[in-house]
Amino acid sequence: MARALPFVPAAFLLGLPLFTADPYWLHVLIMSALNVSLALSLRVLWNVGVLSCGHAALMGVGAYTSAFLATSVGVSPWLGALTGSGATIAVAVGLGYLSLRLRGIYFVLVTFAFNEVFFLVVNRWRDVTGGPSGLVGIPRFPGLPPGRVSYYYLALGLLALTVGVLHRIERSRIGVIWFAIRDSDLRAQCVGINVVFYRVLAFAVSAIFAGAWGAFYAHYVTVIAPSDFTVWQSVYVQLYMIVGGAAAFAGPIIGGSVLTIATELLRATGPLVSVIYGALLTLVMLFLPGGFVSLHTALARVRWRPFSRSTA
Amino acid sequence: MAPLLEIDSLTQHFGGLAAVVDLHLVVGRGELLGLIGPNGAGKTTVFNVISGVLAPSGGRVMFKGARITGLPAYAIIRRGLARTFQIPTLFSSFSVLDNVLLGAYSRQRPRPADVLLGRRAGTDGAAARALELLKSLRLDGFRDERVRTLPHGDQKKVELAVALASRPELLLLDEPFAGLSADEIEDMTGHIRRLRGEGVTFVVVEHNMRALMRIADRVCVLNFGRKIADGTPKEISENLEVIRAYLGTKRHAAGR
Repeated sequence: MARALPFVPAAFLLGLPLFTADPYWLHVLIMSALNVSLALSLRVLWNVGVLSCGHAALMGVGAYTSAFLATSVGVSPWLGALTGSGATIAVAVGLGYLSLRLRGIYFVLVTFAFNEVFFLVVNRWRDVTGGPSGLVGIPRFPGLPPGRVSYYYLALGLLALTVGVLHRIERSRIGVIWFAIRDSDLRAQCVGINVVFYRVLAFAVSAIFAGAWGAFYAHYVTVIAPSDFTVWQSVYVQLYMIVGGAAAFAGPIIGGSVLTIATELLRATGPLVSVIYGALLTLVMLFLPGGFVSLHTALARVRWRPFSRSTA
Repeated sequence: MAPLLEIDSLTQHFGGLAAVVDLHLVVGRGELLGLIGPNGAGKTTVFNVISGVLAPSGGRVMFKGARITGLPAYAIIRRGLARTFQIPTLFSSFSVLDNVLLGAYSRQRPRPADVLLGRRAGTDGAAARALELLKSLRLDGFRDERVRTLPHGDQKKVELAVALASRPELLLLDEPFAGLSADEIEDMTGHIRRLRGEGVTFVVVEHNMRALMRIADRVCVLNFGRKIADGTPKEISENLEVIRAYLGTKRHAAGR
């Protein structure tokens, strides 16, 4: 029964375009899939006990690589997306090998700086990146039927791949090793785990999906600019993960979709959107530090408080 | 033949504090060496240096004739040298089996196919060996329990199982009897004897003299980071300097 549960939303999402083809809502759902996947892939790093502020830049590496290859070299976007993901892995392995000996705030700072450097480079390197105005006229994925529905299904497929692969890895031996490193990297060393290797591996896995979704994004919106990949975008990905609940696999899925859709709904309130959004996040962090996924345990605690007082 | 473990003029400073000073120590294959001394004598520091947790300020450690000083801890384990900790530092939210499997992973990289299919036990027989190990320690009844729910004595045995999963030739035990009941000490002693029969060499740090003297071939005494005695259990318990520094009276040496 519980195993069948994920199929209900899956069937709903698959059948949705049969009932509505409203391009606006399809776009919102595509962006939700993007944000969910980014948050899930960021959580891979969280699983080894580090937080990254550079996820948007990794996504940008995939997006710019694929977009540049398509607009200037004429490479097919499908091949470009693969190349973009590969480039992202290379960047992550290089950066990770240098910096993943650091923990806590130090790694956060390194990734923060990495994101800033990425922004400066794409902002200045006009010949390749188009500078501040970005790359325009990026071709769509060839072979897809015109219209947004085909991108909607492509996003669903990529989402299924992201969720499936990351879930499998987490359940495998590598997942156990990652959690062990998060619990105590010293202890993990002492049972024979090469901690740096497995942290870099986590970073690489995290990066593949950031890069692939970056390429997807470039060939979907067909215009990318440095402002799409700032540190703030990285912080948003962190929010999706943490507000959803980083402890559980479902957390980033809930956080990414709820926050993306909520942002759209709040857009109607005009300039108040940031205020309401900020207030909501503050409330969640104050009363639900474990994120949305901890809602049921938090409610259970509220319900049981009078009882436990009487027995104390 | 070179001894299994050879510690040569090992020195370890922490700032101005000399935790270990010019230590020489040799452990032969198949031996059980006891390492004793008052608190702060440097016993655990010696373990930390041997197992690669600390890089020593000076001196070297040779294992199976090769220098291991400066190697990272995981690389030392792969050569066949494992350790346990004074306080069990297991992954407390993991099951007993997962903890033991982690110990086995040091010898086996996960196979990509197992990873993509989410197979934790894998297809390389690691799980079967882990279960066998749990059975030999009579822990197989708890294989799926989370470690934090186990009593202290069983946690100590799981700690031993994790170390054994890497198939060590030399095992460093940091206070294996601490906090155990008399029955549990008896049980642990039995397992150590059985493992010696299987060819494992031991260095054991322990404060429980009665239990240690029963299993040790040789005992080395540290005081303020220096070796003050090295000999058979009988020689050590009669050594006046050792009695002054650590054992207190003869009654303590013989009993509790």
